[in-house]
Amino acid sequence: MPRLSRFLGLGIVLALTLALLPVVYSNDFALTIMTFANTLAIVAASWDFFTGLTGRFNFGQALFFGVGGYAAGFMNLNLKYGPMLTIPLAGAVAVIIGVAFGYPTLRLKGPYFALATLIFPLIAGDLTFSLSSVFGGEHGLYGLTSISDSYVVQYYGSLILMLATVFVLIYLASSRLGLALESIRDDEKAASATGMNVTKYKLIAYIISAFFTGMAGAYQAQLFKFVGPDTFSSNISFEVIAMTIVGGIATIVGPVLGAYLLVVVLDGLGVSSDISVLTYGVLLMVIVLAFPGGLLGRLKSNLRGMRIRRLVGGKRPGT
Amino acid sequence: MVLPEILVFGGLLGAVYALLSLGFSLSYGVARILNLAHGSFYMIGGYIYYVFLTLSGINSFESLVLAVVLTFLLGIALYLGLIRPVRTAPVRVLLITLSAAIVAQEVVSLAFGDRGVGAPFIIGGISSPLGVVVENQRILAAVVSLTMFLGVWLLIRITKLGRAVRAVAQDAEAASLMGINDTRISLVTLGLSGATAGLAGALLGPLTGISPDAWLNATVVAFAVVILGGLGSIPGTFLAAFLVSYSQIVVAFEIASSYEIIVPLAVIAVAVLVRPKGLLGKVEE
Repeated sequence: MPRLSRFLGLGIVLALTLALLPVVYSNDFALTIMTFANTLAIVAASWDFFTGLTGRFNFGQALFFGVGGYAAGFMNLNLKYGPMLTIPLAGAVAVIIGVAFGYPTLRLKGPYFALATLIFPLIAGDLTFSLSSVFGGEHGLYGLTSISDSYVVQYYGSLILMLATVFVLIYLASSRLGLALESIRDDEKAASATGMNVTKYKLIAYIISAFFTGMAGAYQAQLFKFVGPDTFSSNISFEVIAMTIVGGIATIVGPVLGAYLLVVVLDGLGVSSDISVLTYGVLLMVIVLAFPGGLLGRLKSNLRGMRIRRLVGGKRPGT
Repeated sequence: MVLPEILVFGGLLGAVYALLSLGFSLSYGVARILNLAHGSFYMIGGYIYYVFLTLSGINSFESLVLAVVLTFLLGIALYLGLIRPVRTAPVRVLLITLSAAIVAQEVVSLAFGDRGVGAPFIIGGISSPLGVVVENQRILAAVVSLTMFLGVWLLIRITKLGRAVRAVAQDAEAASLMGINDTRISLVTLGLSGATAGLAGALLGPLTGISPDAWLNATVVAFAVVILGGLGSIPGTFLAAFLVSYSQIVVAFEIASSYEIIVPLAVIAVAVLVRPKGLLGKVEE
């Protein structure tokens, strides 16, 4: 199992480095960037869980990010729930929205689903304007309660949420569910012929992806004490795609590395958001052009080799 | 009471939507390229018109022509530089055209700011057909759009080149066996796509204002129109453009303009579930 030990070793080293970061280098600016990187890493890993495993491109991950943020903001302001409660509840709200959008569209064939996902965040973003009495229009919801004003606490909070997300997603990806999803990706007709309800499985993956992304949105909302219509921006959907493609699709861990790399480099250099998104665009373009073997060629069995299920004591599929 | 308004505004908008969607339909119907950057032609066309008109001494008609020519060349460049190398893998075409759209958005945003710009009208003044007060620019936009749409339709209907385009749409492999150069047809298709959407942007941009992220809405509208009308069906695209524009105008007048964006999605959902081939569609998925 050379591959497992390599990944596991890397993972532990990475997690420890991240855990020790505030101790060795407690710079507020650096911690803020790393907190931000953790949040986006959650979104990217969740995007990868759905798209990497099912092969269905979701161009609108920002939908869940924004829904999570607004759900948390709404509950915090109107129901006076604290962040520790609003974060998981926001994940649940994102799941509901995921069912509402995913159920009718996930059965669409070919590129129709991908195109439909482009539109979801647009609708949600527009709704925050048309229902501005509830969602504050362009001013968003502000004055939210945060977990803490300490940069260190915020950093650790995001790190714990990120590590938990990655652990759960890897566990699920290497479970029977992951196997079922990969079989849909590799040959939907064959999967369906075995009696599998493929739409149901795709929906499950979609709402798992929604759940964690919604929590990330809620985390960022309490961090900034603010949530605005920008959280539905297509730039966010696009950034997580670039992070995942850079880090390696269908690996769950890859998008996390991609998120760190891109956020730390770009925000560390202090470039404007235009330059940063432009870099993502050019990078994605170059990668898509430079790998004629196909990104989807690399999709296959990236996770299968890892045998994570042994690690966590799960059953192998089919036994 | 608002019926005349709905009739007039919906009809005028529909003509521009038809032009905007024509190229999207052709590139998917003929070249099997799903171009997410289609709306970028619209956005860039609007900006080209604005830049030449306001920052150089050129008049509005010349700016309009430049917008068409430059977006035609841009369509060709997009095909040669980015789409052709990944053509065989649909997912990579989606990703590369999405990246192109994002890069275009950010470049324009860096150059002219992200708040958007409003270009001067080609013609000023107002008219009142059916007693509805309308800017002359809006009428001009519709008339030019209809003319251009008709021109492209005739090009594909009666010329030899058009016959080749239709042959590729029907069966690309058989067409290439008959000696039709696939690359040439794709270039023509993408060039026309760019020019028509670019013109739509240059015509409608002054009325709505145009911003770097306008590409997304334009792509979404084109997609809804094409799904509803059937991929590659030009009469279908024409009909569907008016269905979408009228639905949007009805929603805008009767409910709120911020719900407009829901119309394309609803259209897509209903069309795909009820009539997968589109209203007049021939192309089988």
